[in-house]
Amino acid sequence: MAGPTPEVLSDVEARFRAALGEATSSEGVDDLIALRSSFLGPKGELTLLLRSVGKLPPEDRRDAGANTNKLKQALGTALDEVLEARERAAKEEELRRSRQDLTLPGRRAMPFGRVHPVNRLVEEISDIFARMGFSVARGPEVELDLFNFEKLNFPDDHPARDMQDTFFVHGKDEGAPTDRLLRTHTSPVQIRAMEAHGAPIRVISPGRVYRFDADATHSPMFHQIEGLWVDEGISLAHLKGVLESFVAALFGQRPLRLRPSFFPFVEPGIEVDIQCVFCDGDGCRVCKQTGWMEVLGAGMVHPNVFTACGVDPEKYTGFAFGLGVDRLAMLRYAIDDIAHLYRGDARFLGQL
Amino acid sequence: MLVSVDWLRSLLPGLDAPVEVISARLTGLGLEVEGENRLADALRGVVVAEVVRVEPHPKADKLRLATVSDGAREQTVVCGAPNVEEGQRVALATLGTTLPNGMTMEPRKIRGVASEGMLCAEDELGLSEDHEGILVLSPTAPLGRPLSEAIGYEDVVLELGITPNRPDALSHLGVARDLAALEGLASPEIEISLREEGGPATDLASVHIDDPERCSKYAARVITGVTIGPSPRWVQDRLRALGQRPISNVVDATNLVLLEQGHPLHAFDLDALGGHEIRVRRAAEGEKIRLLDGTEKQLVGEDLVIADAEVPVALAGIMGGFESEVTGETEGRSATTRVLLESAWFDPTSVRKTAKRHGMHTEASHRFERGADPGRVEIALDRCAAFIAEWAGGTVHPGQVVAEGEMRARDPIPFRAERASMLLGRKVTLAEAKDGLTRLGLKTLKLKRKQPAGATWFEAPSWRPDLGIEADLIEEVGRLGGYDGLEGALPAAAGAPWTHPPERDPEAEARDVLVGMGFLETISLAFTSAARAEGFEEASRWVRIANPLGEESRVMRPSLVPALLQSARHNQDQLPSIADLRMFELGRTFAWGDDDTLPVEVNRLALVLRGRRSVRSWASDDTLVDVYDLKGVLEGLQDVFRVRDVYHRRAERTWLHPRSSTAVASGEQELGYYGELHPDVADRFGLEGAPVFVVEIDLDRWAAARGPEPRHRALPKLPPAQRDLSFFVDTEIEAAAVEASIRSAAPPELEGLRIFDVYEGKGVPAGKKSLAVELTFRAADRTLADGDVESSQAAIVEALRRDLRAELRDG
Repeated sequence: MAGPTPEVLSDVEARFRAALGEATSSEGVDDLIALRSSFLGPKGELTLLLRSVGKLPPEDRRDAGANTNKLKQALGTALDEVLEARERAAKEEELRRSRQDLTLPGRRAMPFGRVHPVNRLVEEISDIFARMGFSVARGPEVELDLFNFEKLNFPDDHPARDMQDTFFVHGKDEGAPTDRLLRTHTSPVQIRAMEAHGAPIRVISPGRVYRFDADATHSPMFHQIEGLWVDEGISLAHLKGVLESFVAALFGQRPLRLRPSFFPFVEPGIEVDIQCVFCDGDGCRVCKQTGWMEVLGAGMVHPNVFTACGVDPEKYTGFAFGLGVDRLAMLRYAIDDIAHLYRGDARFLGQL
Repeated sequence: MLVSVDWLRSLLPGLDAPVEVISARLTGLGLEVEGENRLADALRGVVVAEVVRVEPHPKADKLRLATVSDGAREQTVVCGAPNVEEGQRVALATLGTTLPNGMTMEPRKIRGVASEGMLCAEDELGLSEDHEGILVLSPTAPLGRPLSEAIGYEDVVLELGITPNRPDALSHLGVARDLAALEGLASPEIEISLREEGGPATDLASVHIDDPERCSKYAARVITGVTIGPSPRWVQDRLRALGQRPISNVVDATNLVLLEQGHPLHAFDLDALGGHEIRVRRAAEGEKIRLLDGTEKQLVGEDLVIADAEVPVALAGIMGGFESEVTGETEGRSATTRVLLESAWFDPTSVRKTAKRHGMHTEASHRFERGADPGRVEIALDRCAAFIAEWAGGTVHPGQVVAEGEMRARDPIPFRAERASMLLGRKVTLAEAKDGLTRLGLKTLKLKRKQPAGATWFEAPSWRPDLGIEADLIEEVGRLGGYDGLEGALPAAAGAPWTHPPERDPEAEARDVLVGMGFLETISLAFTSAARAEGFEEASRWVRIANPLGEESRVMRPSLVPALLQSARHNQDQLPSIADLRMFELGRTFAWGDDDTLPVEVNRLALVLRGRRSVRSWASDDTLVDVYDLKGVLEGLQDVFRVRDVYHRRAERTWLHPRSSTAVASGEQELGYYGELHPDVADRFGLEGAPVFVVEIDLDRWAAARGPEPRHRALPKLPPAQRDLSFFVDTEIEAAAVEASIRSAAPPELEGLRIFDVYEGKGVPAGKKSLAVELTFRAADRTLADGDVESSQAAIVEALRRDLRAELRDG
């Protein structure tokens, strides 16, 4: 035997690599183990060659030993790589085999619930006004005539009272019903807030109100949001500016139209239309081809109201507005009958 | 209020804008146009045709076949009218036309003969009640043209929503006046040519006012020799177009003047007035009157009446009496009638109270209670008298018979341009204001008053009772100037202090938690029936509606639960096989408390839970919820609100099942109740199948029991020691007692205590249950030695044995 001459080593390497190349495609690792043992094992070719180094002339030993060792290492690494790749592939294969059906619905205790569409709007609108610095004030739903009408400048026995068909409430012990009622609007909260805090004041008051009326667009109970801003120098232009900001926040920037109207507790009294949110003013069924939607009543607080609340009407001015939330909810969600809102039908509530 | 555009144009000769523009202007003035009726639309499809031939119907004696031509084509129409003749120009309803009476023209056979349309009578066209025969037009009516054009039926009627402050706009004159002021046109005038004859009116009748506060003026005219009959055609047409039924020349005259000038008038039969006398007085208590509409009213002393020498003959400002009606019936009288025509001003409040008391609302009361124009009394009277004389013949006797009551003087109104500028938020000059206000009929006054400084003083016209203070004048200036040009502006942000509490709105917070737990939010009407309220609050504390919509809404809800149960029932009806429901409501409940001014309103939260624990799916079983699922929801709310000192204790509620009826409390205060719904209540509400679980809490108290903001504590650095204990106790021993016993014996190192198993049945002695408890011990400063834990555990076992006769299980 000639020992590990370069020729011998390159022959060994060529044969090893050829065998390794062929082995790549086979299943399992047995062939690779066998290959390792026949070349690199205790009785493998390279091990034997390494042993034969001692029989070489001393001057050749160093190089031959180093070359053989280097080759042994290189071949071992090459074999390890193939072995590792093979194991990785096998593991990958194993992981793929347990593929799950994710077209099945997920596991959940319950689908999310839903906030009632009216309350969703109340929260949204309240947030918009809160960002403009309005506090929230609340008042009773069973109200005194004094606050619902009298201090709001609806004189006793005035036809303006006919504008709001009223539910009257018996007193305790079935007493006379005349001076207690279900509030017909959230405006009495203006009075209560001004009496409690005086001026300046900036509040909104969302709440339920009641009118003796029931058809597809009227429910005997519905929701309003009242707004009141009183300070020195507050003007009708401010009312317009604040409402423009509000409308922009709720529906996006769009024109507003103010029309003279009448509510006893404001002077001037205003009806506010916004450009139709469905047709952007082109005219459609919802806006009855007018391009405008009537959304709220407003005006400058009547001096009699200020006087009734102990606020100096010469020093302070202010605006008030009242917004019907139900109508907005019906518009937003295309609800055709207001009764749906208050029937507690899970199918309806789950839809929106 | 219906307004004829033609009439407006005749009052305002300079008004040549198209209808759309007039509509927009009126709306801009605050006289909102709510509807528009083009009269010609009602007659669409009806054309002028000529009768070419009339032949008998082969099968029916009373019918005839008319061949008519519209100038282009001939067609045959079966006609039953007796007056159809060859050569007439008539109104032909062509096929496809729908007439005002609702009839639609379709090709059909009448007694075997095909008829292509119909020759119309006036009633079928909605032109009158006349059905004597078909409408015969002028021989010059243009063939084939629309009937509306041929008869000049082309007016547009606008429906105006007149707000209660504007009685002046309840007439054509008033609407025209506002338009004139806006457009800068001459204010409309009505010319009256009245010829007076015979002896003075004061010789024929007398007028007395006994209640000068409620009747500031009463003027009457006497017209003799009146022949009652129909009014002229144009008057009838006009009344009909404006929604009124023509009655007779005299009554139509009063109605036409009402529509023209807004002033209510009434015509009495002078000879039915005892003593030929008018007396404006209070009714005697219990006095009766039969009114024009046939109803009889029993009057009270507060009612203002028009009486003759003896009895009431009209309810002042509301309706005339039956006995003194001008009817033209001549029985026992001369063929002509003597009329006393009334024009007066009555106090608005008086008219309103009487009208309400007697459940009446008339055109007259509508105007008087809003405030008629005292300056219109004599003019309207003369106008009407002139019409009667013209249409019904007769003699208008010289002079008005007038009695005066008291008219409250109106205060002058100050106006400051700078105040107007400030309130409107735009520059208003005094010149602009003066110009506008003058056009609206106000007059400037020369007054030397100190307050308010720098004011110009105005006097409002008699027809504007709504103008009383400076803000009213500012509105008029704003209204005439229009708001379209007003630039929106934001006020300086400073000013109003924040008055809202810092906590999050408890309703919003509860809503978020429950929605996350799968609950739908509902809102119910706050009314309920007595039957539903039963058992949820003592009936003596119910808040009752005096004028409910019906039995269903007699009581303001004392609890949110009944409405939720109604919803549960409604949903059960929709999907009877699956009664799954998670629903909640936030709202107020109402009950009388100690105070008798207003009832107590409490913000509450109620929820209902029934059906499956989770959505039916491949991944879940169909287990139904039980009361512990309900308690879990409540605990979720407790956690979010950090309710202080919260505990649950037995508390009987009539609507809850006795086995689980429970209160949730904070300290001594009960915050709410929950449990399984009482089976009787479930029956009452028609709930069948899966049991129903309900909670109702007082959200005000709940939020008030909110604990402080959480504070961070250092996380433990040392490991805990855990031990599980398993033991038998008597079945009636409650978990709370077990916990209390353990805690009484435990060292401070006991960090956690959790009951993780409750079991009765196989392997457990009768009358006992098995409980398993996980105990966690930890000390902050040292690792606990086994010995420490063993001795703690021994003490706990001993306490359980002593307190509850608990026996430790083996292992």
